[in-house]
Amino acid sequence: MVVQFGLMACSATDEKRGRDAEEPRQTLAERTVNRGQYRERNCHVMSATEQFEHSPPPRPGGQISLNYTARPGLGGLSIKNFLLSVITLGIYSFWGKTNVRRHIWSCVHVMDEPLEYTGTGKELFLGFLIVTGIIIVPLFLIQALAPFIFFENIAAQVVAQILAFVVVLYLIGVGIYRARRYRLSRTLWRGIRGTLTGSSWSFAWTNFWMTFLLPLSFLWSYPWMRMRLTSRMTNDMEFGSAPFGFSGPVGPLYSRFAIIWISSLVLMILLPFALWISGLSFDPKSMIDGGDGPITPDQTTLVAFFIGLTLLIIPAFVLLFAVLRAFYVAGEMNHFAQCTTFENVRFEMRATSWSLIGLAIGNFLILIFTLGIGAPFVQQRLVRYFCNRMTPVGSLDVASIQQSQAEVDRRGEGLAEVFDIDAF
Amino acid sequence: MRSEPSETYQGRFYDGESAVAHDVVVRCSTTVVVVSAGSDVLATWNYPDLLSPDPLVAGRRARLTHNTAPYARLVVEDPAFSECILDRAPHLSSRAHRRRGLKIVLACMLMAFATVGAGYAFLTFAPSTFAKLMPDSWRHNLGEQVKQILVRGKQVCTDDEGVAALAAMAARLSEKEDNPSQFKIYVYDLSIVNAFALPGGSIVISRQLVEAASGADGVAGVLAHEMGHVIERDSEAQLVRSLGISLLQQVLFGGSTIGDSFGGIAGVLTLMQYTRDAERRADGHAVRILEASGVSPNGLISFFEYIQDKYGSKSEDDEKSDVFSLFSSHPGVKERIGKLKQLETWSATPALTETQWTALKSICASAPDTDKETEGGSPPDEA
Repeated sequence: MVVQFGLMACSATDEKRGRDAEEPRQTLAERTVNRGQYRERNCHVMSATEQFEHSPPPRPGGQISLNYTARPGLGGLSIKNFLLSVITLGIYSFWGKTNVRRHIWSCVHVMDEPLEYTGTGKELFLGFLIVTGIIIVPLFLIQALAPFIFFENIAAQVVAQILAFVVVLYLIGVGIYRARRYRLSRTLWRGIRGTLTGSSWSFAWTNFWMTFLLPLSFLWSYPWMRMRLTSRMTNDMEFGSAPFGFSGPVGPLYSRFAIIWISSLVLMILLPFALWISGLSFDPKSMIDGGDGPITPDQTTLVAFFIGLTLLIIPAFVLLFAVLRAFYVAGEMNHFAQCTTFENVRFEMRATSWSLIGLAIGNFLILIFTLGIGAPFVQQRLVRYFCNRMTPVGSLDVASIQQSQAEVDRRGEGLAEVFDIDAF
Repeated sequence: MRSEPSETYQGRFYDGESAVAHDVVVRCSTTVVVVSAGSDVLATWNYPDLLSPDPLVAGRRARLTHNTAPYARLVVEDPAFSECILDRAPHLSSRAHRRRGLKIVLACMLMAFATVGAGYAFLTFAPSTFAKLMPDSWRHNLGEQVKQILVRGKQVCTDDEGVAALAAMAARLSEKEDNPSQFKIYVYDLSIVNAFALPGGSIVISRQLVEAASGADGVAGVLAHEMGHVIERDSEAQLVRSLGISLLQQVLFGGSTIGDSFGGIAGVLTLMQYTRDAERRADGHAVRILEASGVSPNGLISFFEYIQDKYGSKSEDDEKSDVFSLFSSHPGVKERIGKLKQLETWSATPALTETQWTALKSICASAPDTDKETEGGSPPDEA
């Protein structure tokens, strides 16, 4: 059966899907030819009668591509999740989160084949319950009870609190690693799942002592720590039987880091000055109680201080710090992409400071104006930013990728959930 | 574009073993879906075990997998195929998906109800049990901590004669009680009219309460009420309860913003409900103690009437909930006056002599006079 229709192969971003039904059917041969031959943002009409007459050409290592194609339905999903979470006292949120992931994953296309998220709400819920039972409740009790068990014994109290802090800090590392492992194991592309092959405890240990190094080095160990941890994580990552690789010098991160470190220091010295000046320039009398009644000089300074603080200086400085941070993060993202390899594929990232700031401000406004209900759109924007600016370069021999043999976690992300590690 | 209804369709198959895409011919027979490439049969799937990651919509692309091969994926673009499958595997339809979604929502609601119910039951029965099991050293430590927060920076009143008068009053009231030595009574200059029973048996009375009372009998009535709280271990139970509530909140809502507000409201409501019960019990103790020690309840009545006059209905409506001010959510003053007035009278003598009462009123004489002016500010939490 040969179908003689042209094929619209259009992979421009944000194309609205959901009209699959109206699209002419495509034959396998068309698909074969189409795959890999046309890069992003090109629409071609082609006829494919001839190709089908022959047996399909052998699939070469296809040119790899990555793009995000938004689909409608995320708004409805957001509202539904919010309402159902409210009436179930938050319990539904695990299923809601899963549905959002399914939606967003399915918008990500690698070589025109969508990703599929195969996790379930039940897995997240059970993971959360178990972690709550064996970690959160005991930790809570230790912290809550310590003050009156060891009332006079300040040393014992301090030890108990430090112990709880250390345990939490350590577990955060475990949580980061396991959440990543869970998500990879629930991400399917062409029927193949991902995995992390290393030990979460050993990753957590590295994360743990490196975190302690941060204050000791006045944060100068930060780029090195990020490099080491990302290297660890990425080198542990596999898709099916094929490992990711990560290697590169840490040097390039330090030029940007030095700039933001010094600028931040300057800003922090300037901040008290700015607050002091704002404190002098405000007239608070007109702003309290209609100006009636005597106000002591103490109050005057105090009120002026806080008005100046909240209205002007603090947001300005927050913005400046955000700009510095975006400058570093952009550099880091681009460098990390360069260091990453997957089979014959390397990666190029085009993150810029201003686009990151725009992304962050947009996300902030979405969360503010939707009272957090629009959080799925924030996730979509993050993933889309990543997909749009990340270009995988090279060709992938898909035939060489076999299914992952790693064991699959049965429950997910309890630790990440209770420690609120990230938005997903 | 509907093609002729056909038993075979072109499709793309991933076997879940490798990432290779197989171009396949799919046959939608009456009992099984057969996936074959050339002469090789790659999969034979029965309908009941067929799965669809997304709801299968007639006329749309079908994406299928199977219970026996959860990583295999079969993609067929032909719109007629999805119709053929839907006829034979109706459990893949959007309606079936929605029904499963509804079941999940109902299960979540059930769990929410169960959690709230279990939490409520736990908070009702467990705190007083825990409070009574608590070792004395814990109670004492707790009490000291709460006191430090409560009287932060304020002066304890130490005028010798006043302290002696207070001790005499306490001794008289607690004479017939099981463990008279457990009550340790302090007057603090707190700038509010209030009294508190603390874990471990300490009772803190504010100087302003002593001044507001028309006589020693009023102070004695308040003291008897607080002793009731100590006997019932109410403040210990209250702290255990608030601990339980914050634990429940943390577990139930985690960091979610939706949950925080809900949890907050639920927590406050629970606290208020419980304290009202405790207040009624403490009032019962107060009456018993006053009767046993031959002190008239009239002092307490006139003290309540003073409160009512001064703060009107506010003290009945503005029931703020505060873990530490155990006086804050008493049953309405009017109701309590009514109950006290219904009591049969007993033979009574003044709680203190005139000299002792004068001494008690000036118990803070040696303390610096801070913030005497309390009217016009927020009303006291009532007494």
